[in-house]
Formats: sequence, C-alpha cells, structure tokens
Amino acid sequence: MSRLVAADRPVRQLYWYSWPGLAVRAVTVLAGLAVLTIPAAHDPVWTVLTVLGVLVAVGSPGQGGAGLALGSAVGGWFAAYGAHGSPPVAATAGYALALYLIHTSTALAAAVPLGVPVRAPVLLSWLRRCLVELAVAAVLAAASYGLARPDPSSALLLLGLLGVLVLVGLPVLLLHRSRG
Amino acid sequence: MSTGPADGTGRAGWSPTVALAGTVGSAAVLLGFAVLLGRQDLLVLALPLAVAVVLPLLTRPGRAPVVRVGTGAATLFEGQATTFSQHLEVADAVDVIRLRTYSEGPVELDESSRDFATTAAPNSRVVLEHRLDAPRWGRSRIGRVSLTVTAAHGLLRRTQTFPEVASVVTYPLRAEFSATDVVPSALGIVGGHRSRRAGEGVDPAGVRPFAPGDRLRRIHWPVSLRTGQLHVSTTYSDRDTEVVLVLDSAVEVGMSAGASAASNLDVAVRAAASIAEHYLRHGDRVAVLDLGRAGRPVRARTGQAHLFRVLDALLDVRVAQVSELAIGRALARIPSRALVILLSPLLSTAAAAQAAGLSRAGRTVLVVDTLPAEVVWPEPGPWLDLAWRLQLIERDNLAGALADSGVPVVPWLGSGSLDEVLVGLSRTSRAARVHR
Repeated sequence: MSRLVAADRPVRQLYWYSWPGLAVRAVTVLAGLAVLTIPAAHDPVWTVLTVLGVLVAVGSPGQGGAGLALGSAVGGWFAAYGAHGSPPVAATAGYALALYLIHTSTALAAAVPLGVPVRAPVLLSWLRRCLVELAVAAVLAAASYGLARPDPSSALLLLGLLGVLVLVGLPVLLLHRSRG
Repeated sequence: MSTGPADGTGRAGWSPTVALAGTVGSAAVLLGFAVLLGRQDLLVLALPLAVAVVLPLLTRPGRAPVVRVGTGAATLFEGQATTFSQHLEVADAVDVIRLRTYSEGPVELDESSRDFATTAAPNSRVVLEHRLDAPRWGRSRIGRVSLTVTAAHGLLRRTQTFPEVASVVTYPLRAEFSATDVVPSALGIVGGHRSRRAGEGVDPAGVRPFAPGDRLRRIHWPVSLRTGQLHVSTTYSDRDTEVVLVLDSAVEVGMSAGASAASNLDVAVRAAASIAEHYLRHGDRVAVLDLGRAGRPVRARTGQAHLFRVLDALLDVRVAQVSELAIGRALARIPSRALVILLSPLLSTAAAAQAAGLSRAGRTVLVVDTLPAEVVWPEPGPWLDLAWRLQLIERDNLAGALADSGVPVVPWLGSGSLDEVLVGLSRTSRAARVHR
C-alpha cells in the first residue's frame, strides 16, 4: 500500500544578502549622512531631496538616485554658504570626499546586486582605483590652491573652463567613437 | 570541453551607466559655478567627481572578457557529482564580472555558483570550478552564461550571453537485479534459459531408452548396466527469450529528488534499466517501448552495446499523454512469444486495459507496479488524503481486474521480485489449453 507523505517544507528562505553588497550600501548611507551634517546650515528642501536621492541610490543603485543626491547636495552647499561664501577648507574637503563616495559606492552597488556573492578581489581592486582617483584629485586640488594664490579669478577661470571642456567632451567623444 | 564564442572584441557593445550621466552633470555644474562665482571650494568639490569620470574613461577597456565552459565528466550516475568549470579570459581591465549560469535538466549547481561576481587582472586566464551534482537521471545542458561586465569604475557596462553549453548525461541507478532463468516462452536455439523441449543443453531432463541417432556420449551407464538396456540422459535445450519492457509514462506522481524521494517514473526507469541489464547479460533480446513515445520503440537486440541504447532511450522518458489507439498500435507490434513487462503505477486505465487485451490475445504479460511505497507530495491540500485514498481504491480495483484477466501484478522490490510470477507464468504457459 502506497503512503502519501508531505514533502519537507523548505525552510522559508530569507532573501540572502552578501556582506560586500551590504557594506557598499552602508558606505552610501554614511556618505549621505556626512553630506547632511557637514554644512553649517541646512535648507529643508535640499535636505529632503538629498535624503530621497540617497534612499534611491541604496535601494535601487541602477536608477538615478546618486545623480539626485549629488545634485541636491550641491544645492544644499549653496544654500548653506550662499553664492559668495567661503566655507572652511576641512569642510570642503570632507564634503568633496562624501560626494565622491556617494558616486563610487552607488556605481559599485549597481554592479553587485545584494543577493549576489562577491569575491574579495572585486572589492580590493575597486578600493585601489578609488585611492588612485582620490590621490589625483587631491594633487589637483592642492595645485589649484597653489595656482590661485596670486590671482584667484583668472586661475579658476582657466582650470574651470578646462575641466568643463574635458569633463563633457571626453565622454561624448569616447562614446561616439566606440559606437562608430 | 565545450566552448563559447570568442566575440568579445572591439569597443562596440559598451554602454554608459546612469552613474556616468549623474557624475558628469554634477561635476560640470560645480565647475561652471566655480568659474562664474570665482569660488575655489566648488572647484575642490568638483575635482574628485571629474577625476572619477576622466581617468576611468581614458583607460576604458576595448575587448570584453570571454568565457568557455566545460565539465569534468560527460556521463554520471544518479547521486554522483563532477566539476563544472568556467574558463574566463580577460584581455582588458574590467571592474566587476557578474556570471549567471543557466542549466536545463536534472543537474544542480549550488546557489553561490549560479550567480556571482568576480574580477580578474588584464591579460589573464582564470579557471572557476564549481561542484555539479546530478541527483536524478536524465539529460542536462549546462553552461549558457550571461556575462555582465562593469568597467571604467562603474561608468560602462556590457552584457553578453555565451550560448554554448556542456552536455551531461545522468544514467539511472540500476538496482542489483536477478531473476529466475525460467521464462514462459523461450525462443531461438541458444541462450541462458531452459526451454520446455529436450535437446542440447546442460539442465538434466531425465533418462530414457537409447534410440537411433542418440550420441554415444549421452549414454547413462549406471542405468544401462542396472537395466541391461542402453539408456541415455536427456537435457533441456537452452533457449533465449525476447523481453519487451513497456513503460507507462502517462502520469507522474511523487516528488523526484534523487535518492531521498522517487516518483513513479524514477522507479519505472530504474526498474527498466535493472531488468534490461539482467536479461541482456544472460544473452536475451530486450526491447523498450515508452508509451509516451509509442511510435519510437527500441527494437529487440542483444549485447552490451544494446544496454547503452536502452539506457539512452530511458533518459528521454517524460510524462506524456498518448491516445489508446496509439498505445494499441504500438503494443500490437510486440511478437506473440515475447515476455511483456509493463512498468506502470496503475493510475491510468489506458495502459492497463491494453495489457489485459494483450493477455487475452495469448501473450505473456506481467505488470510491475512502480508506485513508490512513499509518495512525497509537494503541496498538501485539505482533500488530498481523501482523494489519494479514492485513487488507491481505484488502483486496487484495476489490479484486481488485471489479475482476473491473467495478468499478474507485482510490486517492484528489486532483486528476485519477478521470480515467483515468472515461474507461475511459465507453468501457465505449459498447461493444456482449451481452444474454442
């Protein structure tokens, strides 16, 4: 006589998260908190937009959450120091680092979904490239301070125009060439 | 080892991510205001973002990684495991390589091997090895890999699928099976079975007086001396038989989970493999007819090579509904003196009715019950127990009706499970019949 047996109920699987995925998103959250706390004054609109951007960046890094967070953080910076303010250098450096971390951690989070196991070399090589970029940015920032001493406005004008040109022109050129 | 295409060349195929637009926009705005307002702090804020765009794009990759797949073994038995390897060739610097592997069939990769992220240095070859389990018989294809590569520090992405796969065949586990050498209808002139007729063979049939034509070496001297008249010893001639294994694949009940839980199809396939191996080893001819594919029988042959032909056919057994007409046509082609072994869970009437018809037509038919002792049900419901009890009552009725038609039903218990029935069928076939 055949007997009917209920199948072992599979243990209800909790969604499985990999610790690197969580750590990367934690960096985004911490950088978002830094963006909110570093400026001396806070405008509620920019604060809400920044929080929203960080939440989107953490929850769905493939969307434009990081862009929103960066844009509203810039707005918050203007709101805190005005159009002609001169914020402290430490706060500026900290804010720049926080903005960079929001960008890079969201870019990495978009590449490694939460449920996907990530092997250690991925994080190590990513970290190495971050350090290189930060070092280059730090050298350029220090150089800009040095150049700006005698005549801040002309040096800034030169550097800024060059930066905008390279920043916008390079991606457009490269992507155009890669498609062609 | 099967291979994938090596079409990862060229810069085409890379697409910008959302991060590129957001970062370029923010940095450009900051730089623009830095120029307009003459503020150095805005330049400092913009610099890391600008560097994070410009540096990676200057060192962006051209060729995407290529993956090739292979398995340690192409044939396995149920419960065995082998290795599944992915050979990753990385030409240019990339950040994250996410590999998603798809498989069809009973083989299983563990969760962390099906979808994971890794990276590799430029101009390197990495071999990623994973454990591949084969819990159930069948054909499997594994290795279609979807590769999502993120490069330029998260600014560029490329997704590519490598369609080539590795094939793995998992043969059913064959139980130790042996059966009596008595078969109801022995055919041919050589083989491992004792026929009903006296002739050249090894099994003694008796002693009879010498007759012209008897060989001298057959003289039985003790009896001849005792009786004063020449006597010869006689033997049964050796004969082979044709065994037709008929698989009823109309329904599948129970969960199929390797050794821990078996469905009726698992039992049927394993039993068919065991029976086929036994009879082929004894020199008999074995044919296989899967009622799910009634038009494609495995014709009766003998020998070791035929065993692999039979096993190959068993790998393709699937649940399939076939009309009674098609079943009837397929069964009608079975030779009249063949031993027909129907492997059925007796949960549908079509095959059973045809088996009874065959028996009435004078063929020797035996039904092996393939319903497992424990049927594991994945989704219990409130009426399931009652429905199952009703189904079992119907099954008992069907078995009783078959027995009334002269078709014995025996449960599959492995070695020796057919002996008693085969002896009984042999006696029945020797018995005198009334021809009307």
